[in-house]
Amino acid sequence: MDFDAIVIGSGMSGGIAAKELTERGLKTLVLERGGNIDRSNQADQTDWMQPWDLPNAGNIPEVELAEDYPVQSQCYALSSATKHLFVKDSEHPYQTPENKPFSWIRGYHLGGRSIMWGRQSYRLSAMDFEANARDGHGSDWPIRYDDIAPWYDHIENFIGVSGSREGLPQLPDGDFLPPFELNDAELQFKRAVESNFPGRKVIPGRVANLREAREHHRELGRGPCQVRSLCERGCTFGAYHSSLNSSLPAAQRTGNLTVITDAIVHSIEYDAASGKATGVRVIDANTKEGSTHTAKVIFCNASTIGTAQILLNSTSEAMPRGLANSSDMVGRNIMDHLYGLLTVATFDNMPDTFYFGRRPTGFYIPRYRNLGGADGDYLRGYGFQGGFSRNGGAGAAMAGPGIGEDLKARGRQLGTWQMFLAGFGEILPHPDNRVSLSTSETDQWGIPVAHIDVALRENELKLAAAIQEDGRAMAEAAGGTVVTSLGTPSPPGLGIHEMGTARMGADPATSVLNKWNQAHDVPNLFITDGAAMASSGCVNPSLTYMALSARAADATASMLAEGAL
Amino acid sequence: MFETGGMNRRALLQRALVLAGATAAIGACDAIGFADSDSPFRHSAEDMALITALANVIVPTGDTVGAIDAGVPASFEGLMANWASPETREAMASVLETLGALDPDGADFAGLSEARQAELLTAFDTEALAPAEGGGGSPFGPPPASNPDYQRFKQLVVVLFYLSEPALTQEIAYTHIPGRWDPSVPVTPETRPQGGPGMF
Repeated sequence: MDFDAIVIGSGMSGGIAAKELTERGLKTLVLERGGNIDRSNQADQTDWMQPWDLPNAGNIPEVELAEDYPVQSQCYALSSATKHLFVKDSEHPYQTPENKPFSWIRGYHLGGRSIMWGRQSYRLSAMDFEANARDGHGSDWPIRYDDIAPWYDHIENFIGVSGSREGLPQLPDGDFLPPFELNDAELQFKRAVESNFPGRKVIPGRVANLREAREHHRELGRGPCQVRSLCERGCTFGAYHSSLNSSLPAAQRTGNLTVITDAIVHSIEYDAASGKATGVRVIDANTKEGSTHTAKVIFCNASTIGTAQILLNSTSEAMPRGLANSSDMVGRNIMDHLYGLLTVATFDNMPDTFYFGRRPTGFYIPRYRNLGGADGDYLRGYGFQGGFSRNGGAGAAMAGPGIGEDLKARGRQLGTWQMFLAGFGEILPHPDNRVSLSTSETDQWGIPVAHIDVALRENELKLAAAIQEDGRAMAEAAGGTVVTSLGTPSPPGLGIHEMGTARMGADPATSVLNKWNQAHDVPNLFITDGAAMASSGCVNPSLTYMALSARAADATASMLAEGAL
Repeated sequence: MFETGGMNRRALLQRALVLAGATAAIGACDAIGFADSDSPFRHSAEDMALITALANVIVPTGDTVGAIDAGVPASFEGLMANWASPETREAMASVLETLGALDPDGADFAGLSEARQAELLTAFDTEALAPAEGGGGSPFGPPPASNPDYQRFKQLVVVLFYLSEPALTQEIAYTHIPGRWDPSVPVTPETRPQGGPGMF
């Protein structure tokens, strides 16, 4: 064997898997399909750019945008300063059925989307791990909250999550750094919401930015957040968690890490005699030459859709439907979160105060519907992310007719408070929401492209309507005037929380992974990216992926030590 | 591959100073991106005179900096050369043609007095930016205007101004590295809105 472990993918979950495996003494190879990224390279990290340095004022040339980034351009984080962190859709095609769009937002480079992620970090709760069992959708999670809680602690401590302790059972507290406090308008909004709608809470967003850097953060070259809100460009201070800032440096300092970039995984080899995965077939992204790497265990962290592609492309005589797919659940049950459900309101009754700094988060309204088993017109629930800021500058100057000194005066004046509220709703697992391999198209490396077939169904549409109804009600209860209400969810995928294509479950007939994220069919194969999720909850999922990764890596090391693999 | 090893307080401070030193320390970087001298999309001298006159009357230099101080005409030309699609170039050329001929007596707009330029453009601006029927548009932006091409032209001029170093350091406020979050700051007559990209 070349290595003790191979981790496919260096993003959010792969980075943590690599860290945890190497820290347990396992010689680990990380395969990254994209190119190298260097934290000290100013072409790779563009947080140094002043606004006036932004190429084309932040805009990607229109022809290039239309030809190369028709899907990625739907993501708020794409700009001329970040385009090198997003794939060109023209070079990485996928298929969707007609009239069923799916927005697959991707970054192929060392660290993957952990470089550009939104950093919102929330725990699933006991309610979430019991939801499938309670209402019969999806496979019952083979773990409960208490199984993962210590691993949430572990990850929060390592990556650094700033937030407030609230004592809410539906949004468990953790090992938090101090929060980025609410500004004065948000505090007034909090009072209005909590007094008018008992049971609702407005709390500081929990975010993986270091409000303060502890010693173990500094040891990895990380410093406190400088409150710039330029995070999607990378962070020279290492102040937010990413694979580049945290997990891969931690893995590297063990001396047990090897990383190969530009290594596109074609498939995983399976040996029917031993019943184990024996190697990973790789195509060099540049030369297109093939090679195979072997290890005792394989972690697949290629992201939800990428992982499904690899498993489905790993066919053999023993597993003609793809690796670890005896249940036929590989690729099915893909979920995201309802996204794009936006309420924007202006307020003229808020304190005439301001704030300093560009906080890397806003406020959060945890789920308040269907708690305690009380199902209403729909199943599951939703939460809101939002924030208040004061208008002015270019936005105010452009708000209407007027030129000259009038325009400048508008831009110079500290304007009204404006709030946005963005609802994030739970999408149920459904077997017909599915990733399969195209039978008609391969990519430039000869790998069948993904065919992604996802639809929102009745429950999701009811949630979307409720989100907008509640958003407006809360804005107006606080004295706001709603100026925008977007009630149609964005295409699935644009929440960039895709998950569920190799779900966990106790029953091998209906799930792919057991309680240790170990494939039922292939005991030395572990999957700890979003593919493992049995349900989506309504909170941002990366923290859960990382907790599952650390937990599975710990179990793997024990199994190896016991000779069980 | 990636940076490792510990970083002490001194190293962090040095890194902060490099960032604070801005572009001079960083090296080559075309601010916004000017048009190459041999670009086929350079504007004629007449067009540049018109763009300059329009930028100046939209965001004039008065007690504070204006579009000319911010280099908006050259930046606009750069956007047309490096960013705009053929359709956008055509639309902006059409806008310029229209605005260049605003004077009912047929005088060249750039040759008019600033007062006359402002008078003519104010009237045009008011009519052109009347909200279009049907609504829509960006949730955070102004409503679509009855003359969307002019609205876009004006937005480009205004955005280029407010992203410029003179505007962000003299007209409104921008701190590249705030270094702290203060959720409550008293407002004084000197308080200015925060500029730059991003919402918070």
